[in-house]
Amino acid sequence: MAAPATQQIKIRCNDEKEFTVDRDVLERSVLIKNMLEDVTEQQDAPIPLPNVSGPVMAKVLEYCTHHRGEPLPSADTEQSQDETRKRTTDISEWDQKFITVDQEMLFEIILAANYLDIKSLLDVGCKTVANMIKGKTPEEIRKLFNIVNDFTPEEEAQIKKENEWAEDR
Amino acid sequence: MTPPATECDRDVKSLRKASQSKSASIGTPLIPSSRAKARPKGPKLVPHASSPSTFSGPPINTNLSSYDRTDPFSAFNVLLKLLGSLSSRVGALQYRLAPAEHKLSLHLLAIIEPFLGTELSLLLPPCITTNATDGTGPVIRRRTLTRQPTEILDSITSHIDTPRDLLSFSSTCRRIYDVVFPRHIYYRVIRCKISSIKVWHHLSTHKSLARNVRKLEIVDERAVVNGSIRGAMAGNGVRVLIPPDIQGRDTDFEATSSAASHESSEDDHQRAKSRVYAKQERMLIRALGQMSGLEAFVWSCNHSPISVTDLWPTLLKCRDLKSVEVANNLIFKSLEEDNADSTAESSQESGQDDRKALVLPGLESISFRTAPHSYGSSRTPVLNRISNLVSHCPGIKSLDISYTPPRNSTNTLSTRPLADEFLLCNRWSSSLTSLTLTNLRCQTSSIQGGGMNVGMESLAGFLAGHPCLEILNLDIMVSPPPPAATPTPALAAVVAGLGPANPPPAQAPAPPTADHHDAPLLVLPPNSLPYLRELRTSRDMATAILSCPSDTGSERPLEALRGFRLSGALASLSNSALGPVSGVAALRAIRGATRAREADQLFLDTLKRYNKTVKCIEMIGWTEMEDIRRIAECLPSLHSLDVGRKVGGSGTGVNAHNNNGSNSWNGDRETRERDWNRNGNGSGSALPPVTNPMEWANVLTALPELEEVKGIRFFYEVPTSPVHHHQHSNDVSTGSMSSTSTPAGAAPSATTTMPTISHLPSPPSTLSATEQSRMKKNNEVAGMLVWKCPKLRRVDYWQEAVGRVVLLGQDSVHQSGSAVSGSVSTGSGVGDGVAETKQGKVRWGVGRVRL
Repeated sequence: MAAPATQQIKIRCNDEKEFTVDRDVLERSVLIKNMLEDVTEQQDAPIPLPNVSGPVMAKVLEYCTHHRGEPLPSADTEQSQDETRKRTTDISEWDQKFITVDQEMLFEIILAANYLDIKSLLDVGCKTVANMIKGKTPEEIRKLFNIVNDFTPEEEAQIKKENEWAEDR
Repeated sequence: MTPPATECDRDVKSLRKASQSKSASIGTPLIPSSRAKARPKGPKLVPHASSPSTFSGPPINTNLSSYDRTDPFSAFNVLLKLLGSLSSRVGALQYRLAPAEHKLSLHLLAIIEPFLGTELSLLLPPCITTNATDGTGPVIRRRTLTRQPTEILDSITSHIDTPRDLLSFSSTCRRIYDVVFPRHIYYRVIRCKISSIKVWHHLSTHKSLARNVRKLEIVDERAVVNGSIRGAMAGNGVRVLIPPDIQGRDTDFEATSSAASHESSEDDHQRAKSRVYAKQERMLIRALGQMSGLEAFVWSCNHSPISVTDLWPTLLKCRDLKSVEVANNLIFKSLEEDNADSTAESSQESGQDDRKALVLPGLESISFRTAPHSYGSSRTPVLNRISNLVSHCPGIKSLDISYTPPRNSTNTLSTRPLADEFLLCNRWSSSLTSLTLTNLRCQTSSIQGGGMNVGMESLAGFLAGHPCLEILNLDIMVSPPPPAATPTPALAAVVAGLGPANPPPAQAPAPPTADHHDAPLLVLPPNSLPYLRELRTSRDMATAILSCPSDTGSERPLEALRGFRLSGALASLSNSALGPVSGVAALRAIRGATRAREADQLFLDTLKRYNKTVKCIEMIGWTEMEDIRRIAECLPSLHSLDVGRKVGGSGTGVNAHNNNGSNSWNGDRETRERDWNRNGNGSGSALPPVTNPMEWANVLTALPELEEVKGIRFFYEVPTSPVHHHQHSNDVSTGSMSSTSTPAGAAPSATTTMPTISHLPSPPSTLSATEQSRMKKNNEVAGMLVWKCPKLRRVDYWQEAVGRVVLLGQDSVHQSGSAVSGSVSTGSGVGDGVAETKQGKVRWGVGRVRL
């Protein structure tokens, strides 16, 4: 599948697992892209990625491979990057299927996307979590994400009272 | 699935991360990860667990119990020392912890952690967090929502938009509250004056916060404002919404301008002032540039020379913008009128942006209205600026251009902005579903070849060009072209006849008369507006629009028709015939009335074609009950009827303008709104109920589906009970009821002492004789109404615009709806009543409605 001209890059995850990937796939990660631009002509040593584990990296690479070739957000300034990144709430069908994983893996992917600086993947992950939150009561959200309620009942009532304005807006 | 690393190895890594995260502040050198990775593990290579020989300082005590749990500082210092010593170890021991040291470092971290909040625990593997909580705390997994770094929580929250969801999310726990509240809830909606430059300064310097603003409202510069921070919600002024963490005063940022204002002469004062405005504008634009997530923008900034056109280039960069509302007089000014320096600059700027052809693809709703005062209003209002702005918005679904002439000027035809050019140049064919054009005018254009005048050509083209339109509010008049002559009735009739090839009976719009040249001449091409659901316009315009034929055979799904009035020509005819007027005047009056009657008939005939779909009628006024009866005949399946205000009266003749039937609904709406406001301020007045309820009920009998009637007052004012009051049982028996009261005169006198709903209920014993007879009368009316109109549930309250209605119900059928007070179904407070009818008990009570 890889064209012979495509440069192959080796990466190593924190569990010693190694991947050999096409450069253009890997360059969806702005972190790795910048690394590769900095390093000259020394490709035999694998790039260490100490914050990502093998299974998560496999998943991330699946995403990158599927989206290879799509235009990357322009890298000039942070400002322009934000402008081109339109906030939409919908997730494409493939992405939706891709992100249907257990919660642990979902957060691993989000963290990895954040670390590797893959904006679109980070967005997909965050949107998925946001969609899980929408339309639920605080108690339901706590249950879903295993959150311990550390408010006293008084504090909780206070929050609700102070922010009644939010209810009807 | 799990990485094959040993626990020890993972711990070392997490420690390394910890040291990395601290390195910025404490200067610990970063550990090269490759070296750390390559190093073999196990105690074999470490000579001795806590061998002091490997340290270049005093040995570190590895006895875990010697560290006080309550003293994070010494723990931190020891940890620092331990980590700091790593780089200075010799040979193969460099960057290596002995197992005991490793254990100690984790123990120290566990001591420090509770004092740092949850952030640090993110770095710890599960085994540590569990051990560290003294066994009492819950087992905390590493990858849970609350353990995510703030930036990720921030990013997740930015995808949650409704306030309810945000509030639910924030009230799950402290950690999330601390992210969602100060960074999102406070920033989602910002409402303030343009002079609040501290806000603009804050937002332009905190990009990550500005990004979270979804709605920005800029209020009138002279608005009475109450509450400087979010949550203050008293009084009736504008409630500003400013995040509470914005500190400082506006004057902190005005140093340069105030210094400048001390300069020298008087005319510098003006210059200083304009400098202040320029600064406000500059700072707002800078802040606006950071709001990449903005979805709604409301510009009600008046009493300031800054125009929304100056901000437009910046707004064009907000790619998520969905709605723009402008309530500002400057928007109707012509571009040439304004030649201030700042405008020139920014128009230059906007020229540059035009070249880039920026558009707002997501913008769905845009509205332009005038402000309710005369600042910045123009004598010759135009739509140039609006035209410029909307040209950047290809996907508009809802467009509203509502012009209101300044209060002190007369609403004559010539003061309305001319809409022709706008209507000719703009098209949103595939998207526009809702259109409101108020107080505009079109010019009749002359066709050179035929020498005819055609009115509203531009409007007809515009309407025909937008087949998706569902909601249409039109108040457009036609004015003659300045040099050309007024179209003669003959010509106009020809024009009207030119319309559809196969006209239905009485298809042509009402023929204009010589003295009413503002009668619309709208001729729509066939099949226009196939999806029209709601229409608000004058009678003749409605006739013209609704009579436009459709080939498909199916009529438009029209559900609601508003804003019209019938001429009441019957009354005017009889009056003028009987009155003392004579000769030419009488003749003219009769002729006018006949014409108006014809127009009425035309309208009603057209309306009849929609009798299956139309459910709601809202008239702006009525003159004769006969008119209502005729409408009821045309539309037997009405659910809701609002007859509006009584116009004229049987005693007074109806003036020619009303006869025309094409006068502005907007004017009437304003009158109503004014009354509305007046009443809303607490001086609500009870109007006398109709004296002929039986006649009205007979008219309404023709509408078997009728559920709601507005504009006809059936009920007398009686002391009200609190809406949710259940204890008072005051069922009024209606068995031996006789109408003894003389209600029409009695009711208004009681208006000043009218108790409001919050007052305590007056005990039943205090009911005066008048009140008791009114109660009886009310019960009687209720019984009759339910008998005549079995589905009728809501009629007018005796006091206008207080958000209440009188609810009717039968015991057997009726269960009160959500808005209905409990008193209706269960029992009745003082203001409620029960009437016995053949069908059973009829109850009535007062319910609240949302205004």
